[in-house]
Amino acid sequence: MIGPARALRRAGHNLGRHRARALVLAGGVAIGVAMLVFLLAFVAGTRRALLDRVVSSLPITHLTVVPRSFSLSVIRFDSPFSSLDPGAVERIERLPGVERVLPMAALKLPAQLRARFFGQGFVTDTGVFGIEPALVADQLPAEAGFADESAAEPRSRPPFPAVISADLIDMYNTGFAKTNDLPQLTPEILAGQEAILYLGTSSFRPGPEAGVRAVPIRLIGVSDRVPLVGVSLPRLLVERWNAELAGEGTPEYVQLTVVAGRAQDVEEVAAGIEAMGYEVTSGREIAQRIRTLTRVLQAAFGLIGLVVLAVAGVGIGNALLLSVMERRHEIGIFRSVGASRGDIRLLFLCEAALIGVGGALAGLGLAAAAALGAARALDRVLPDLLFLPDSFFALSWPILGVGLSLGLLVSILAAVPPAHRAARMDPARILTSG
Amino acid sequence: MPMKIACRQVAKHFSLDGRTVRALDGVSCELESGQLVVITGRSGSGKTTLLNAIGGLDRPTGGSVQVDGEDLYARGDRALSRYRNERVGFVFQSFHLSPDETALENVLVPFLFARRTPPDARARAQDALVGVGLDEQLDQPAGTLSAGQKQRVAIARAIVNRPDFVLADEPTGNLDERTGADIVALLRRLVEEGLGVVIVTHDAAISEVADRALSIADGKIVGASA
Repeated sequence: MIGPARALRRAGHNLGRHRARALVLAGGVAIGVAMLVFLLAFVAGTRRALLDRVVSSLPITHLTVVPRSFSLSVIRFDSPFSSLDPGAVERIERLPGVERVLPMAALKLPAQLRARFFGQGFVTDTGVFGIEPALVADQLPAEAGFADESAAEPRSRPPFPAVISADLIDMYNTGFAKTNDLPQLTPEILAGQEAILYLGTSSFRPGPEAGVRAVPIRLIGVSDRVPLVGVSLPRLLVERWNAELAGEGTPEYVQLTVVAGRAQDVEEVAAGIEAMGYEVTSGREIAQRIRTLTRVLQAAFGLIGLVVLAVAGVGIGNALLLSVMERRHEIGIFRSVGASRGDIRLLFLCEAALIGVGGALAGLGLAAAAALGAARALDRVLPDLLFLPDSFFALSWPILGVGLSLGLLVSILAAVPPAHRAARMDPARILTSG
Repeated sequence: MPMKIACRQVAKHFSLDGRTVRALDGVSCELESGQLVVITGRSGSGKTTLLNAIGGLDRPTGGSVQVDGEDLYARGDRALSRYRNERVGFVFQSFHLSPDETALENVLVPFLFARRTPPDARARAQDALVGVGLDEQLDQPAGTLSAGQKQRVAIARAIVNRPDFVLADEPTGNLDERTGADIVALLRRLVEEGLGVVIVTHDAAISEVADRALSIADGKIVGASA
């Protein structure tokens, strides 16, 4: 009886004797495992990056509330019975578990931004939003001055503090700047840049010069919690402009950010707000959507890797079957000197296991190298993204374990039919056939 | 105590192209360790089938092979394998060595399947090779040895586990006359050391050195001489 330890030693010895074939077979397993692990690590890394981004832009205790809308074909309409006004803010503030409500207003007039960047004149239509300073306080330098509510007071002095979207800068850097050969922007370059905001005019609807108000603004930072297209200023300031220039009486908000006191209150708060007729989005919900999507991706990519592994397995099975035929005299000799059928079976399975382990380990190395290479390539391609994650690849122990286990399992399963065939060979016939 | 093998009406029938071939047809004989028994017969007479049946390598379709009074084939595959590993050693006409492994590695193979590998396995394999006159070729790949040396390696492999019987199937069939005579002398020496040796051959001359000779034809014992 050979026993697993001796069988493994002998299997290693046999593989050493047939090194070229062993390397080819292990190579097949390595490619399959590498592909599987690489794809799984990519999905896991991307999921982590997306979730980090969600947590940053919409913390777990924060809910986004918008008027309920309905859609006709591709057009969406806000429900006229679901407006967000100060009364709605008060009602939501009274809900149990709500710590505070941060309204977001939008300027009711068209606006145009004019600035000079790098010595060039720059004009663009823009949205203007009014946000609660508390919404972005933790993302701006303390000395930025955006949190100063006095900016909304009539005696507040221009230039007014403004914040723009981090995503907008990413889009500019990776698209517009590259195609127009313009310098890349960073929050540091932008901080302190001054511009003039023309309220009441746009490229599509030029207003009479007399009705247009020019207000100087100063960019003080970027945030991923402000609307993508537009500049965001303190809310009370925008509300004042709406009252003075658009004749708005009671403010109407485009969105509320509701902050729950504790993470476990979020669902109850969301249910309460939905019962009031509003649409609610939470970071948890977005995270759940991301998790679901990435699970589907993981399953799809995992399947691709498994197919490659299965092909490698078929290759191993065929090669071992060929090997069984080539080594029939060796099998006959082993039987004649005392190998049982089980011993022969074990020997071939051990060879397959060693091929599987060797191939899988090489595959893990390949996957790690490929992930490193791909991460560096992405760093080169996307060097200017403000929110570039540390890596798009997450090579975790569970993923490595899955790769190693599947490499081993596929190899052993593929070896079962050849091992069985070897075990059932008639030694008398083999040895007397010359 | 010498080991005894008794064949009782051993038969081996099989179908080939729709007809029944009687490779062995009721063979009865007794073998005892400490003797050199030669089984002669023409090709296809059934002598190799008989040797394989005695060696636990080929299950008969009828009759029984008794080893020290116990039916050999009443045992399972594992017990039969242990019998081949511990009680008998085979030598084949075509040597059946691993050509890319050294003489020593070839001789060590039976220990791979032993219930327990003795701590002095390597020394025993070396002794076996020295005993068959290959002290200079221990680490030489078997494929580079001469035919006579290969057969000596095969004999060393057969005796390394200290069996009771060596079963040799045409051991001189691939050797020239002088080398063949050396091999027969080597097998004869094993008998002097207490082993039983059964040689299957179509070379009637080997019978001259045998303690007993059995003649087989058409699967039946047709002659015996002491």
